[in-house]
Amino acid sequence: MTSIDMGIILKNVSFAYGGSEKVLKDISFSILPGTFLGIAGSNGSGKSTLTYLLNGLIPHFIEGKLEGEVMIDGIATSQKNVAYFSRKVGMVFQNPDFSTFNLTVREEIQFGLRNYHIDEGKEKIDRILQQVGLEGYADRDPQSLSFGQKQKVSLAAVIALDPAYIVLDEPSAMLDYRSSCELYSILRNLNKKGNTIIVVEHDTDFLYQFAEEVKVLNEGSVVLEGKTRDVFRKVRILNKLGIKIPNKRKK
Amino acid sequence: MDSITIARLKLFVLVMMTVFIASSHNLYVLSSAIFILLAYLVFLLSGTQVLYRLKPMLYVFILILAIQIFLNSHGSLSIRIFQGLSAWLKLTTLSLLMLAYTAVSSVSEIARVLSFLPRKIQLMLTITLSLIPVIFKEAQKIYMAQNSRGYNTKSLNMIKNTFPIVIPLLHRILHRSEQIAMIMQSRGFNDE
Ligand SMILES: Nc1ncnc2c1ncn2[C@@H]1O[C@H](COP(=O)(O)OP(=O)(O)O)[C@@H](O)[C@H]1O
Ligand SMILES: [Mg+2]
Repeated sequence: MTSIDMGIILKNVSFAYGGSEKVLKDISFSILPGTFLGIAGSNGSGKSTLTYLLNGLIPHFIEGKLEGEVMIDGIATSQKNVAYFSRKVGMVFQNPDFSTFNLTVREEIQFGLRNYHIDEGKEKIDRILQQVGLEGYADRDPQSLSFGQKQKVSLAAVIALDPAYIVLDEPSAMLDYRSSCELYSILRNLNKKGNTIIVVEHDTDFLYQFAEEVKVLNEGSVVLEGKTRDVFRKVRILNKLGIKIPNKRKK
Repeated sequence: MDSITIARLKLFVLVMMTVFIASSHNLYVLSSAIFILLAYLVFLLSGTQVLYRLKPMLYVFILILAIQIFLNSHGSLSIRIFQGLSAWLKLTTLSLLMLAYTAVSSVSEIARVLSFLPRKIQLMLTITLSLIPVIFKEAQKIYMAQNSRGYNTKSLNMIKNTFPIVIPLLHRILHRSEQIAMIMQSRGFNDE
């Protein structure tokens, strides 16, 4: 495989859920390995749907009409199953309340490891929990944790599989400011270690502070993209799209 | 004992107890099974959660009794009532048994014990079983939300009472099971 193939490439992708009109319209872009990409856009603009394309949930699990092609490190998502792509692309879903389904934090992490027959020893799990700031939480019931902690458990379950790309859908949506900051600094560390981070985020302050590049979705199309600073300079367009201008003093 | 052995043991106990309860006609045995399960569940979960589980069984009780008294014409009245009672005790025991099992078994555990089944069936069963405790929590939330918006649950009409709870509940359960399936797949659970 040549290095040109590496990364996530979308070629003229459109998608419509069964029976309804197109939710994503002719999207083309590529995400290079090592990027910290932010995706912004108002509610219903298709951000979550876009994330489902990145590990093959569309077209393998979610029904609808897909046009175009999504390539992950040179392989089209239509060619292999979700389990194959999930090893490369880790997903943290939007609602932390719905994201855990095991009795203990340890089992939550072991679930993925077992599916891929990866070592699930105590040291490994302790190390991962430490990485997300949840030392000593292995035996806790995920349902009893706070939103921020649940989100970290989901992230830990993903990190355990050591994916090159990590996708998060509105991770700060139900978190308080402090937990969000903690989560983003974990993401920054992962990015420094070489992980590609793709984060859907409505709070543009976090994107301004952490993302290298930003894409703005509107009604299923990418209407703005580029380096974070350049995108957020387009104040008039952003205002028209109803996207908050980040508070730059925080930088 | 390693975790898979414990998981298998739990499922084994569940199956054995189910068979035992389903084939038992002794009211004393059934009553004591209910009593033990209740004590265990109250200890494990909480009184309110268990009460919540028992409430629908009250309707079932009335229903079964009505059928036995008015629709069943075999045998004397006392025999029919006895049969109805034992059927109801059985259902209640099984319902509590399922609650106890799902309260102590996680999705990944259930999935591992069922690993001899085809992946698709395994996925379905796993999600269904793991949803049982969730369903009761969700129903409770919806019930409280309806009440806080002035919905009158004191009226005696059972159908009218349950309808506004069942519809949003179904919606949430479907949404939730889809979410769990998506997450399981995203963590490498292969259904092929
Ligand atoms: N499972 C689904 N079935 C049908 N339509 C859906 C489904 N999920 C989302 N949609 C629709 O697709 C559009 C985009 O949704 P989504 O990708 O969730 O947007 P966002 O994440 O940006 O809020 C919305 O109009 C939404 O109603
Ligand atoms: Mg969304």
